[in-house]
Amino acid sequence: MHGLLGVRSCQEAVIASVADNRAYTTSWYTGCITAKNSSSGYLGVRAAGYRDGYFCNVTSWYYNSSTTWSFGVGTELCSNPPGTQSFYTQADSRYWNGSSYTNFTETNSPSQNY
Amino acid sequence: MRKTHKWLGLAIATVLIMGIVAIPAMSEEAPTFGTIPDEAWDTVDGSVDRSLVPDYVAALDRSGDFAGYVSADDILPTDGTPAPDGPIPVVDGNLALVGHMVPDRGFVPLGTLFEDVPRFPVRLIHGLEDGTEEIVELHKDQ
Repeated sequence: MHGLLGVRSCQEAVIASVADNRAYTTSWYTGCITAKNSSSGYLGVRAAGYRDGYFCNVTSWYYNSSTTWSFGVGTELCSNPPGTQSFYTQADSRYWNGSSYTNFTETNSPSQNY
Repeated sequence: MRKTHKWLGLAIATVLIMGIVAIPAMSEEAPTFGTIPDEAWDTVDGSVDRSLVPDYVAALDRSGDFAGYVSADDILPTDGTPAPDGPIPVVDGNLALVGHMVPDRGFVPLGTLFEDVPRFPVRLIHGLEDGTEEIVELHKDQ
């Protein structure tokens, strides 16, 4: 894995602001304690958006274009009509292990009501 | 007497065959349709309780109006495998295709080219060593 044992990907799904679905993936040494830089194309991420239990849409897979320890994609996947809505982001990420991508799935943000 | 046995055997065979064909058909449950309830989202471990998710999840178009249903298998991971890439079929309550959910574009009804629907503006966020972020915006002019 990237020439070093113990490197892994940790991911996060957030609602950054009103209806802004963001999915992050970060590369870390084991234990998600010390971040580590990853070369271009090593980190892939996509975000899916949900509102009130409805599926809104999903982004394409995007990959880091420069060396970084954290890479994310953000967009407003759901409309935000008047009133209070409950939004979720679901994150999928993948990490290049030297020969193929290892996938990480099922990270959901806490719901945010706007 | 021999003829009676022959007919009896044929009748039994017919009943057995009908049973074999009918039982799986009867045991097939109709698919469920609806939204994902709040309690299905486990925000502690980040998982989704698939037992609470309908087979087909209601989907919205870009205006926030109901567009149809997408298969839960097409949007949620299964056994650690991410949902497939690419356009997601959208069906009505009779499972007839009505369009697709296209990544970065949203609902595209049948008869409309994907390319004719503009992409959402997307922000790509790279973490920098000093703790700040570099944000690149894509598809802003679409």
